[in-house]
Amino acid sequence: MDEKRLITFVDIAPEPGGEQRLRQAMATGPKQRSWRHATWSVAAAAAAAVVITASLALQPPPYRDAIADAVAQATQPVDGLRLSEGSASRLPSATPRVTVYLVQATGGNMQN
Amino acid sequence: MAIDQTDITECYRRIHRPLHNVLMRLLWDGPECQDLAHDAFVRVWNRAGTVDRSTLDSLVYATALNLAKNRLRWLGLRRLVGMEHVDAARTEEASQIDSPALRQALSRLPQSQRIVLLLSDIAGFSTGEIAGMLAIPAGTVSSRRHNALRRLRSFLDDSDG
Repeated sequence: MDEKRLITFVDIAPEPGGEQRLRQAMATGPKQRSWRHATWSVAAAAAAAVVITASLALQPPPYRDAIADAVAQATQPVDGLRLSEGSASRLPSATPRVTVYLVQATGGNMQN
Repeated sequence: MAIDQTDITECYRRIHRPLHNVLMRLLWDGPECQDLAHDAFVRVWNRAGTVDRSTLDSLVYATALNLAKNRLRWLGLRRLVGMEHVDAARTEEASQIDSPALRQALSRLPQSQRIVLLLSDIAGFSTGEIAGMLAIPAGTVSSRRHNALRRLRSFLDDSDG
């Protein structure tokens, strides 16, 4: 290092017995990951993926109700009126092919 | 070239003490630092077939530092959710390390700067060795150490004044 050591750190001695512990750990030789271990890992990951995919597939999508409403609205008969909390009364018309209604809302929704 | 038990044992005798000192300034917990250093040596031993003798020291340090960073992340998470309690023994043990002002100043350093400072000033690694160990450019090592010393001096001056 280019700069001088300006900070003095206290030297801490580790507890004895560490080398003995390490020797014991090394006594059985390096633990290599076996192919069996790797296979189990892959199998577990695949199983988890299947469970997650299945649970997502079986769950109804949150927008399904919205789509159903939109479809129902779009397929309403175009030659009629559907009233909710309102009233419609037919008025006499001079032209036979034209029907005139008086529509009065009573505070609810009206859909056409 | 692969390493054997003798290489690991010699490496342990050579670097265990400075490594313990570095880890202590990150975790402030003796038994935990010893476990962590042990785990680092065992992990390197388990890859003995692919480890080169010339990079053994650096590899053990890098492994131990990664383990320490993971541990700090885990402790931070536990503290965040209120699961980590202050251990009286641990606090007492930590109070015997360095001066209180230096301890506090070190704790306030960003982790990246603290690690560079500890590797250079406790473990005695050169800029190039630290750069290789942390996989960062040598210039970054120098600037991190420079900034760490500057901030440390500033913290210590504040605590004196």
